[in-house]
Amino acid sequence: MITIRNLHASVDGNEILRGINLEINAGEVHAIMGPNGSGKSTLSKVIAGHPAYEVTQGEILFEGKDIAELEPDERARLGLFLAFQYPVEIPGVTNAMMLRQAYNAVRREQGLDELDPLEFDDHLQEKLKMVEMDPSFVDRDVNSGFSGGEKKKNEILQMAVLDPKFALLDETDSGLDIDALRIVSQGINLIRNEKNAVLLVTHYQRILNYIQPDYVHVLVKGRIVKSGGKELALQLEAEGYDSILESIEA
Amino acid sequence: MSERPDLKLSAVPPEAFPVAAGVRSAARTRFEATAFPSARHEEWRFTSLRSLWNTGFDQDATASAAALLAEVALPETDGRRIVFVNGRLDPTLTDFALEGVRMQPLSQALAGPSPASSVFDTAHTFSGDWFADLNTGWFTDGVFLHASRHAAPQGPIGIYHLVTAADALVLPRVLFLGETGSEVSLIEFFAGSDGIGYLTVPFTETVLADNARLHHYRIQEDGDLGAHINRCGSLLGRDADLQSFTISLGGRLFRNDFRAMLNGEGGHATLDGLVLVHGNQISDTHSVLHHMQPNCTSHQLHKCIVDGVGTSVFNGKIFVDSIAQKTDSFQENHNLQLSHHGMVYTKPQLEIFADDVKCSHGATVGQLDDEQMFYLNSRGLSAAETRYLLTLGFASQIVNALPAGSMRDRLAGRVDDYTRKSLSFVPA
Ligand SMILES: Nc1ncnc2c1ncn2[C@@H]1O[C@H](COP(=O)(O)OP(=O)(O)O)[C@@H](O)[C@H]1O
Ligand SMILES: [Mg+2]
Repeated sequence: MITIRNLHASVDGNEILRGINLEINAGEVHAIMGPNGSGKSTLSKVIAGHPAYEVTQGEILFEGKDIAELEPDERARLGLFLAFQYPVEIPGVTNAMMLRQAYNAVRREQGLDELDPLEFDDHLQEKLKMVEMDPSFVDRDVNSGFSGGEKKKNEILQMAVLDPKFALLDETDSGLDIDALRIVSQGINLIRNEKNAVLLVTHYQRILNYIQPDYVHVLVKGRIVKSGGKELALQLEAEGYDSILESIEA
Repeated sequence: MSERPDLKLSAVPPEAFPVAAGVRSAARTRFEATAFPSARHEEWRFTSLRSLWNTGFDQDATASAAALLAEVALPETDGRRIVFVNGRLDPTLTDFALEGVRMQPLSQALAGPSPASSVFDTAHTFSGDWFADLNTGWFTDGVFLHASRHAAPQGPIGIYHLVTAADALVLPRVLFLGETGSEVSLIEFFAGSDGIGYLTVPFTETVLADNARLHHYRIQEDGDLGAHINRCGSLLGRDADLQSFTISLGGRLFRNDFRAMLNGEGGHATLDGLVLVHGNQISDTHSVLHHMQPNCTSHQLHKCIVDGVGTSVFNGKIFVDSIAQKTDSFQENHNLQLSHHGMVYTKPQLEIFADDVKCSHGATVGQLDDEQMFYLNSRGLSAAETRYLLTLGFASQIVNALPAGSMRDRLAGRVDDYTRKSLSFVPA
């Protein structure tokens, strides 16, 4: 699904990602864990194509195609989705309007007919139920005045509506209470299938109680320093990042 | 070459409005003694009136306005419609009957002592201002609207100020009095034909008694060569509530001067505005929120989009008198620049003489936000679609807050047209 080779990326001349290698196949869930400032959000934004980050070396292959030169919207229309760690507020643009435009943009890309507002609403209502959100949610302005938990749920709603091939979730679990965490996890589990892949970026092991990852990677200072199965997450939880750092440096 | 317009004024003697004769001749005297404003006047630093210099405007110019009315009339004002044509109240196009609100030509209302005469010329502080005195001294007729105690008519009143005569000088006058506990919606719609030059100087006064509420919508869709310089004053009593909204879309030169005086405890004034500028338009809003009594609140959200080589000016004054403790006032001005050649001038001006108050203001000038752009791009929306949605969203924040109906639909449509045109956006 996605292959990242020797990826180096900088922002404002500072190198943040320093040689990332990652291979994620359809049907898999990977987790990337790492201390604050290790480059998790940078990796997420670089994969999604944020214009502030410059890829200085390496490649990002999505279904065999190098996407490093594509615009963020082109990547999204290929089936890539980023759930933001800090979703921005967009006053004046309703969730419904944004989602319908986004959904239809993907449909156009796939050569399918666009849905009119009524047809789209049916599709949307079904997804709203899935994330246990009030229908009035979609008439509100994107993330405007939303609580932290509502913003994260809104990311999951968008993911569910757009049904991406590859979903990248940047600390979607952070700052959620148990109830919201359950709903968010449930949303992720519902869209999982053997044709798509998920990369969960997280600081805590907690969400991995709800979503079983196939692989866990530890990111430190812009490099993946250790990879393993889900037991690696438990080890991190028990021993903290310091022990891993020490064992690597030793 | 004179550095002012050449006005041909109507021969209406001050005595035409017997109880206002004194006010009118005083205004005429001041007017004759006042110089036409130039950039040396603090209030006119950024808005040039040169385009009016040496240009003739005739207060007696006339032309039919039935076609223009048909274009702009909002269905929700049917049967509650007052029409000014080239500055004169037009009895044939006017169609007004509303339970709880009395409408009278000012010539009748000011014929003798009356509710109108007791409040006429009291709801503003514009005396000595060239444009205000021009209107006060020479308006040929106007309208008085009187909402009785606790009147709460359904649906809005529409006052249409239509200009269709080339080179017209237009001086409409409106006086509104809302008695205790009344609640009224008033739409003032300013429209003019494209392709003709004119100067319109409308003057509206609204007086709100205790507990009265007025929703005052002002839509400016003047003709592309029209110059519109208005004066609007509002005097609020105890617990009165003014909800005012102005949208500026048309005209070549627009100056909106709005002053609200919170003259009773517990009053509230909202003064929101949306300005869309393109081509070489100039749109200027000067406002005063004057807190004269304790425990009043005011709120102002003023948004401007500037395209082309247009100019947008905002000067928002908040005055808090020393007696006006516990004032809570909030002002925001946001400007979105779509072109590199447009000009934005913004100046908040707070003058606070009380010590126990909450006053804040903020102003931003800039282009679309990069993080918002990236967010929508990452959902699959193209750069063009994203710019369109965000620009529309910037304006929609104000338009969406309007009551549902044909006014909002019309304005939403106008905002959409403007956005598509400015961004050359053609949907996929
Ligand atoms: N725009 C930026 N300019 C400069 N440094 C940045 C910028 N964005 C991120 N960084 C730096 O890159 C490092 C990684 O940040 P980030 O990817 O947000 O980490 P994480 O998500 O793992 O907490 C941090 O040291 C951060 O300060
Ligand atoms: Mg992060």
